[in-house]
Amino acid sequence: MAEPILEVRDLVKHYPLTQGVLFKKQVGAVKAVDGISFTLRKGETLGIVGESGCGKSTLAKVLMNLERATAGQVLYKGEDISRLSGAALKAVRRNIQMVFQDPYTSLNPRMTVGDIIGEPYEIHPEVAPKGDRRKAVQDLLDVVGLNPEYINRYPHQFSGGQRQRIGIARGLALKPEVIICDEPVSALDVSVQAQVINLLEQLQQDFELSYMFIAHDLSIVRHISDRVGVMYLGKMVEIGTDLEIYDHATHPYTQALLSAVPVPDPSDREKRERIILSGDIPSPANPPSGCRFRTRCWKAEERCSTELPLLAVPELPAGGARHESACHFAAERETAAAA
Amino acid sequence: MTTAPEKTTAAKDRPVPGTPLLEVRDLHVEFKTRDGVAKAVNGVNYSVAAGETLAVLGESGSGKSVTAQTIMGILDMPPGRITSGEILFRGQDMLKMSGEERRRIRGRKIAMIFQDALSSLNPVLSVGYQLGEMFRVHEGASKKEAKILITHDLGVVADVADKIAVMYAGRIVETAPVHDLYARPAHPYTEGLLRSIPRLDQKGEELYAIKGLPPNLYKVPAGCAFNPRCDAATDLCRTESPALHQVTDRDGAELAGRASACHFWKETLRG
Repeated sequence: MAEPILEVRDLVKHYPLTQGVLFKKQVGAVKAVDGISFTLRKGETLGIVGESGCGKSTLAKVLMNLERATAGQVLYKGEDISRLSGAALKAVRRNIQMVFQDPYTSLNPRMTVGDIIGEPYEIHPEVAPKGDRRKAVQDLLDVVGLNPEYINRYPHQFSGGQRQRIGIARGLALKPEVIICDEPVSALDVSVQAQVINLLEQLQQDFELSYMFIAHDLSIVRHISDRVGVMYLGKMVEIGTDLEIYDHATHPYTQALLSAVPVPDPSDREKRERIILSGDIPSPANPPSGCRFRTRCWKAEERCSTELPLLAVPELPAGGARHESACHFAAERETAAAA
Repeated sequence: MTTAPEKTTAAKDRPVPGTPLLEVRDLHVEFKTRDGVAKAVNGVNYSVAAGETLAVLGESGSGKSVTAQTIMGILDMPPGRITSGEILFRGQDMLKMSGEERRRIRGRKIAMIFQDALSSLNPVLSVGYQLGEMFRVHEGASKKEAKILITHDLGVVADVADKIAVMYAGRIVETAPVHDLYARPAHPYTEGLLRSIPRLDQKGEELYAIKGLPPNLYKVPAGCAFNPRCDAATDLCRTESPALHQVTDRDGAELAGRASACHFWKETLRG
C-alpha cells in the first residue's frame, strides 16, 4: 500500500452563529464538518459523495487552508498543516492544489490564459524562474491538450471543456502532489465530461498525483475513484473501496443514495427497488442527537438517538464487510436482485 | 373498480386517441446578435401525447432549451425570433393564441421540466428519483398532462421517459422509444453519448470520448452538423445535410417512432 500523503484526523469546522449587534454573543454553531478522519495515499483517488450541505465543499476549503479548522489535524506527509501560517503555509500550499467546479466563473475574464496559468509562479517563483515562465505555461497547455499558441487568448474564447482544461493546467503549474477536484466535470456537456475525466486520469499516471474527487455523480465517482467516502451532515458515514461502497454498502444512507442513482439503462427501471427517505436533511446548526441520519432512517431505534455510531469496521455479521461504516446496525442490503 | 371518478373529467379535456396533446411542427428560431445570426432551432418536429413523457436530450447549442422556451412562451424576443413553424395544442396553434390562453395551457396541461447541467435539484438524492416523484405528483393531479423533460442526462432519461428526441445543433437527429434508443441507437451522436458514460463493468479503462466540441451555432458545419466529431463521417456527410429518415428493420418494416438524421443510419443501427 502506498504511503499516506494526507491524513485527516478528527477535523472540525464550525461557523459560529451570533446574536446581537453591539455585544455579539455566540448562540450556536453551524457544524459544517464535525469530526472527520480519513487518509489519502500517494497516487490514489478518494471520491467524496454526499448531498449538498453535507460539508464536502467545506472539507475541501479546510484542506486547502482557505478556511481555518476549528479543531483536529490535517497531516501532510506527517506534518500538521492546519495551524500553519506565513511562509510555512505558503510552502505547503504549493503541494495541494484545487480544480473548481465552474470553469465559467473561476477564471478571471480580464486575464489571458497565459497569465491565469502562470499566476501561481508569482507567488512561487522558485518553481519557474521568470525567463522560463512562458515556456512553462506553453508546456502546461500542451499537457492538458490545448494548443500552446492559445497562450494570449482570453477565457471567453474557449468552450466550457477547454476552460476546465485551463483550470487544470493552473492547478498543475506548481507541480503539486495532491489535487482536490470539487465537482470538476458537473458543469460540462456530457460529451466533454469523458474527455476531462480521461485527462485527469492520464495526468494522475504521468505525475503520480493524488486526487480527492468531490462530486455528486456517483457513476463518475466510481469510475475514477479507488476509494469512496460518503458524507452526511458533517460526518463521514461510510468509507471503503469502490467495490465495498458500491456493491457492499452497509450504511443505510449509502444504500439510499445508491438506490436512487439514475442508471442509463431503461430495461430494468420497473424492477429497481428505491429507498425513499422521509423528510429533509436536518440543519447542521441543530443536528439530531446520536446518529445524525436517524431522523430519516428506517432502521433507527432508541439507541441511535442516544449513542453516536463511530466510523469503524462493523464487528458483527455485516455480510463479512471489512470496511468502515458509522451505523449501529450496519449490514448489507438484501435486494430482490441479489436474492 | 368503479368508474365514478370519470364523471369529474370534462369531455373536452379527454384525450382523443391518436391525437398528440402537443405537437411542434417545423419550428425555426434564430437569434440576432452582434456576432451574427445563430440558427438555434432549425426545423424541429416533435409531439407528445396525453400521459406521455418525452425527453428532449441535448447539450449546449442543441436548441433543446430554446425549443422549450418557445413552447412555454418564455423566449426572449428580441434577440430571439420565431421565423416559422407551429406549436399545436390539440390542433390549435399556440403561437397565435392570446397570452392568457397560452398561460392556462402551459400551467395546467404541459409539464415542462428543465434539468440543466447545474441542476437546482438536490445533487445527490437523486435527480432521476426526484423527477420521478415530481411526475408522480403531477400524474395524481392530472392524467391528461403531457410531460416534456429537457435534459442532458442519459440516466434520468432512462428512468422516466417514454420516448426521446435527441437534438444536435438545432435539429432533431434521432427519435426513438426509450428502450430502442438505449438498445440500438441509429445515430452516431446518440451512440457516442451512450458509450461515453462511465460504466461499472469498464472501470479503470479509458472512457470513450466524443472528440471535438459542441457546435458553434454561428458557424454550423456544412453537411451533417455532427460530421467533424463523427468517427464514421464520409465526404457525403461533409456536403449533404441528412434528412430525418424513418428507421426500418431488415425487412423494410417501419419501426414505430424511430427516425435518424444520419446518411448511414442503417450501418449505425446494425453495426
